[in-house]
Amino acid sequence: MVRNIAQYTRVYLAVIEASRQAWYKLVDLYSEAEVMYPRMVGMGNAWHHILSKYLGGPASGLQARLPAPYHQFIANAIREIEAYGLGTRLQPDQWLKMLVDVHTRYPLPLLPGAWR
Amino acid sequence: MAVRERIELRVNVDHADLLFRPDEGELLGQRRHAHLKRIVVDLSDPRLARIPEIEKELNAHRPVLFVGGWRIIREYTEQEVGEARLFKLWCAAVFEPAGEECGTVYDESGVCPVCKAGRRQVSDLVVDVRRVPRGKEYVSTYVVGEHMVSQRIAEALAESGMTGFALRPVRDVRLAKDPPIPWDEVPSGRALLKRAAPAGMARDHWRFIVWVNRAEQAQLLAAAQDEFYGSARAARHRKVRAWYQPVATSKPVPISPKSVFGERPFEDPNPYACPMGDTLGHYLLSELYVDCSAAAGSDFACTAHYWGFEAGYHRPDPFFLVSQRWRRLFSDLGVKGHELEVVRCDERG
Repeated sequence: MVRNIAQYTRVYLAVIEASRQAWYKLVDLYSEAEVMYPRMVGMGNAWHHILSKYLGGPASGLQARLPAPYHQFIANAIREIEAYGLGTRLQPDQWLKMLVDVHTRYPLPLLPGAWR
Repeated sequence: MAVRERIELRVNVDHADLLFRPDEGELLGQRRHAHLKRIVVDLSDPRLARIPEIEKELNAHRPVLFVGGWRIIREYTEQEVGEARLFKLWCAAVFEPAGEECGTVYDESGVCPVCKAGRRQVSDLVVDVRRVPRGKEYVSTYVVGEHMVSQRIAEALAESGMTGFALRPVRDVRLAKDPPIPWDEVPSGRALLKRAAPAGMARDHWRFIVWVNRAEQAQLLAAAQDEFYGSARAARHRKVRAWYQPVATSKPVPISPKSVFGERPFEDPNPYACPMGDTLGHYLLSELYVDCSAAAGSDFACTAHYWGFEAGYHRPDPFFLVSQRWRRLFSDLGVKGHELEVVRCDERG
């Protein structure tokens, strides 16, 4: 698989920086997500496309491994900003603003093995 | 024109008061994390013009989200809807993954070298049927054009005598490798062909597949599946609901230059207009104007021009147009999952 990461490097770096600054929220948010999505507890981890495919993110884009309830939490946060089903596709600048906003509030884990 | 045009904006709560009153809009968000407002204003609201300026100020030092997604809402009078010749068909019930992720094959050999518009779907649409939104009968993957109708709608369309389209069977990703049943090679298949003959249905016509999947043919179809796939595999086929992809067989309809395309309604540039002329821009901002005479006699068509840009599994997409007859059929059947918007005719287009 050819991974065309270069055009989104700026976006990925901004997501890492936003997550790094907000990492201390992560444990509380995991618990909160489990309360909000109890049916997903025990469903294991899900690989989250950092650039959502429905917004034109590449299939080969970077992914972060998240517990299923927290994955739902983040997916919903993104869908509130950019609604599903409108055929929307984002440009790098729009990705940057949206994902910094989302991951400042909902950081991604930055542990070894949590990204691929 | 009596159409009322409004715009729904998703605005960051932290900065909403830079442009909107505190009591405007409703909060969106998960519990204490509500951080967005859905604000609906008239498209002619002069405040909209200030959005790019505010965004520029906010983003001077670091990326800040002010306005996220937006969509234009158009409300028509009953008279306008009743008098319209064409409507823009939009699917609002969307699911993942895209067809290409499940094995749908596209031929990109003839696409525009600049904008990549014009790829051709060369296989049946393959999707994960388990992911189809429940209770909806007109659904789509998030890729425009990968839309599907249920068996009930397909039967109604087949009986309606409407023209300009075909319904291609949709294949479930779990069964996509199974070949279709060769009807004359199995006894029950031959019986089905015999039963279909008086109705004048050719086996290679899409109406035959819709007819085969009708409840009246269920027993013979089940027997044919058992004979061809073996009982275990046939049981899996029977569990999957039948879906069909509407594809336009009529001549594509040109979009009139009166249609306005661009990035956002409150910004001027239109960077995704293809110099080759096939993609007109990222989003349609005005109502859609087409040369309606080009669609005469068809109940379903797609536009000759495209919108959007290549990103991930998305490619520039045509709009799908349907006739007044199609609208009435969907309305009578109470089809869920679709939206229709009046298309304006500009015969000079």
